[in-house]
Amino acid sequence: MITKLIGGAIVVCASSKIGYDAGNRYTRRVKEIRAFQSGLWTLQSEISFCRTMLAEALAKSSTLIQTVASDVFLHASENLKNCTGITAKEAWAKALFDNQKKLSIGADELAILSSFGGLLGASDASGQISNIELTIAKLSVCEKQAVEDEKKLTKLYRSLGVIAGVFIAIIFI
Amino acid sequence: MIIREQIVQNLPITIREKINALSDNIFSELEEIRLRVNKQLMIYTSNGAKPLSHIVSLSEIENCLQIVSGASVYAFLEEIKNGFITLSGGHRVGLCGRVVMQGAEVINIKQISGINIRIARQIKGSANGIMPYIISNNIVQNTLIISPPQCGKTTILRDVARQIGAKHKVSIIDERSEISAVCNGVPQYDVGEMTDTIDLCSKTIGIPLMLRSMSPDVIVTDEIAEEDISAIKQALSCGVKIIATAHGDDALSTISRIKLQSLIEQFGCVITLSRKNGVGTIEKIIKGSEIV
Repeated sequence: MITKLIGGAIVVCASSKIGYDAGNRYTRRVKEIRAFQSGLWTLQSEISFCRTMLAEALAKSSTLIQTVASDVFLHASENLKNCTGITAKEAWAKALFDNQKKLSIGADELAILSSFGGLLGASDASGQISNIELTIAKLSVCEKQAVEDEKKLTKLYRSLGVIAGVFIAIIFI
Repeated sequence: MIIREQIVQNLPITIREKINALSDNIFSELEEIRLRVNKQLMIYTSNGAKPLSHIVSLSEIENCLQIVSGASVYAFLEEIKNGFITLSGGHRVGLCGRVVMQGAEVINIKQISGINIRIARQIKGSANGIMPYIISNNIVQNTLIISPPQCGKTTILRDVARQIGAKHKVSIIDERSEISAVCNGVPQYDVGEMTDTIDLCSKTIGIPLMLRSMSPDVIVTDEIAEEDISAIKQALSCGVKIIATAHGDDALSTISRIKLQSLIEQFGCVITLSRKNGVGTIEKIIKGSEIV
């Protein structure tokens, strides 16, 4: 009986962990979207006021934000510095691809960020600023949806994890 | 080999392969690499033009512009307005495309359709033949170097700046970034230990500015014209020596065209160059007072 109880407790814990992880993904998604927006604001001010070179501006943006988004900005900057003959579009796409598995953002946000890279570094300052503002605006729409999802689904997944664990444990016992 | 690396790293990968395949002999004579949309990749050496077996695409031109600007086209708008970007090493990337005007001013060049990469090679000692006339009795003479284009004026002027800059405070007013070839704030040519450069600044603004800020002994500038004469007069009245170049065939007509007659007596050295016996052939060296 004791073995069954211990086994049941392990099942409940494991299931709850899965539920919490699934729920936390929605929280991380919101944080990452906000971090990308924040990084883009920094990038915009660096381009707009200082005409900072893109590699430096991306590196600076990465230092001012948290989450995996910081890694994307940093890797894009390093790609530009280290890979000679690379365009900004390629550097950004490579950084996104390399960090894709670690990112919690959805397909919509990923598509917006990929499309942002297409025009990166290729036009004058006003073109770059328009591209950044458009991306921030698109991410804002995604952020609202992500916040709603977070409210609805985080608790749901966490509860489901615990309930599913208890349910499985009861069946085994 | 350093020049090859400096050039090749600024080319798109597909074009890089073609240029890398050139022998050292051809590369040592290379003067220009030209990329034109939907046309053959061309190189120009001292022996003339040579097409390479590669058709340049629009995306290669766009990529090349991105690479030479460090993926920061927006940061090079001032250079693009002037039609070129200076690379590390002093090499110059000339741009051709659709010009966007605002009034009489160029505000951008868009839809780049042609890129000309001019390979820069500094020739130290190219001014040795004229230096004894420019520094006479240990005094730097006000000097005017006159020649038609492509006769080596700027190369010689750069070497004059380098040699004078070893002992005197020299200020270069580099309106087209040709003398010092400043890239990211650093002159790419050796223009002297005691030389300061103001880059992409007109002579009318740059000469008074450098007089105030850098207290030079000598001002060096390229291709003076009529509108620059009042600034030159100001420098001469401060006791600062001027070494300048001007486009022209002969001294008298050039001085008359740029309206330098009233100041020419103060020029201790007027040099005329040609290509008669190769670039930088010295045709005549006379004192300004002898012209009047």
